[in-house]
Amino acid sequence: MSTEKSSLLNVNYSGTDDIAAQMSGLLGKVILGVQVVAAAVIFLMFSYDSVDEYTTQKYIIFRDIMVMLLLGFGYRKLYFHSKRFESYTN
Amino acid sequence: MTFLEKYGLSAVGLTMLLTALNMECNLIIENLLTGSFTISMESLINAEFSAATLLISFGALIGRATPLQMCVLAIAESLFYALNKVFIVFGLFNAEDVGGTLTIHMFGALFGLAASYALGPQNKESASNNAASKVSDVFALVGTTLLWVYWPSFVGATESGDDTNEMHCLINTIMSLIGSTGAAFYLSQYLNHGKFDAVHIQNSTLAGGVAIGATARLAMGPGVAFMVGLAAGSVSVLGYFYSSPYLEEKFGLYDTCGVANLHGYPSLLGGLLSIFLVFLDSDADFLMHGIGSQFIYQALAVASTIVAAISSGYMTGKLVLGNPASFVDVPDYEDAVWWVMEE
Repeated sequence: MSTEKSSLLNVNYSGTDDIAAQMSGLLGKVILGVQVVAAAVIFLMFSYDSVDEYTTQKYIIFRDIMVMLLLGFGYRKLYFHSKRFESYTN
Repeated sequence: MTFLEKYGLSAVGLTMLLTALNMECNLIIENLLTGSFTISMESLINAEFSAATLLISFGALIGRATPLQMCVLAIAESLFYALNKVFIVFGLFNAEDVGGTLTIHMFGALFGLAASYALGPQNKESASNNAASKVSDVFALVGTTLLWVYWPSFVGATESGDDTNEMHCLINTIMSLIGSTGAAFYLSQYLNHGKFDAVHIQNSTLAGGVAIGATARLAMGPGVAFMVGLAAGSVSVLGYFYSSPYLEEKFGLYDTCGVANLHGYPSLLGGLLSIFLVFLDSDADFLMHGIGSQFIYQALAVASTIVAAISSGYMTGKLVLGNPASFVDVPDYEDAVWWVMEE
């Protein structure tokens, strides 16, 4: 179960290459599967929207949100509760 | 999420992968659900909203779920997110939620927390990898400032056609962000004997943007928006200080990024406030119900989003994360497991 303690801990990562390699096939299939399905569906069923609906302002908003997602969320702070909880309570 | 000294590559890299995967799925699913077969800037922006929802959930799980598990979760969440948004919040109830307080922040936070609960408590010894350096801490603060600056674009994204509504969205969001920033700095130093806690500043300063989303285009007045931000920032800091350790100790609910405090509690506050704030702009033409009933639909949308997010998140978490067949015994928060590293 996922709650078991790791035998690898954070001391020696020898052997983790094998784990990544074991999962490579399935991970590849999931990523490739989504690309194939998306490509097929979008190619066969979708087209561009009318140019009348386009404004540069919408592209700027799209770009702003993309910065938020890739950099803002990517850089965001993690929080390690246990350590802080101990420091608060001690 | 580069806060993690040993997991920075995964934090930024997987954010990219999951964003792309989720956007691809959402472009298809949400367009099919709405009967649209064109790709427009609006549909791309909607796909970004879906990806934002996933990344919020990712915050609860980062470092503990494998890349494979997160990819499967990204696909599943794009479906549940679209169903809740299209059929329930905007379909069945026609609720007001221009900035995604309910459909994005509340759904993403509760989905991720429910999945994390399904994964179980964090008791690996590799949990000690969850540590920061000063450099990674500064990077995280830069991420916060980027989110702060662009948050008004996020909230007002779907209102670019109407000047009045767009102005309300932007001003209300900025006022609320200012309020939550002030509240976060004040409470942080108050609770820490005069010193600021980077966690509070990097997260709770943004809580105003989360809470104001449901009501951003209402003509509530800038003062009210500011007070919404004050309340959201306060709730968020108090959540980090009291709630997170409690949930972890008592319930084994491990929330790596503290998404409950930045997205969960402030979105709950924003959703509940929307029940009352709709009365301040009862003549608004975008409200789909009469003033006597709009508040009821706001409440129903909040309740249904909570149920939908928790049930779908827990079910997906059990299948994808808590499933013994998908368990791999690797250290958490460690780039070396998943990335080619220089010796």
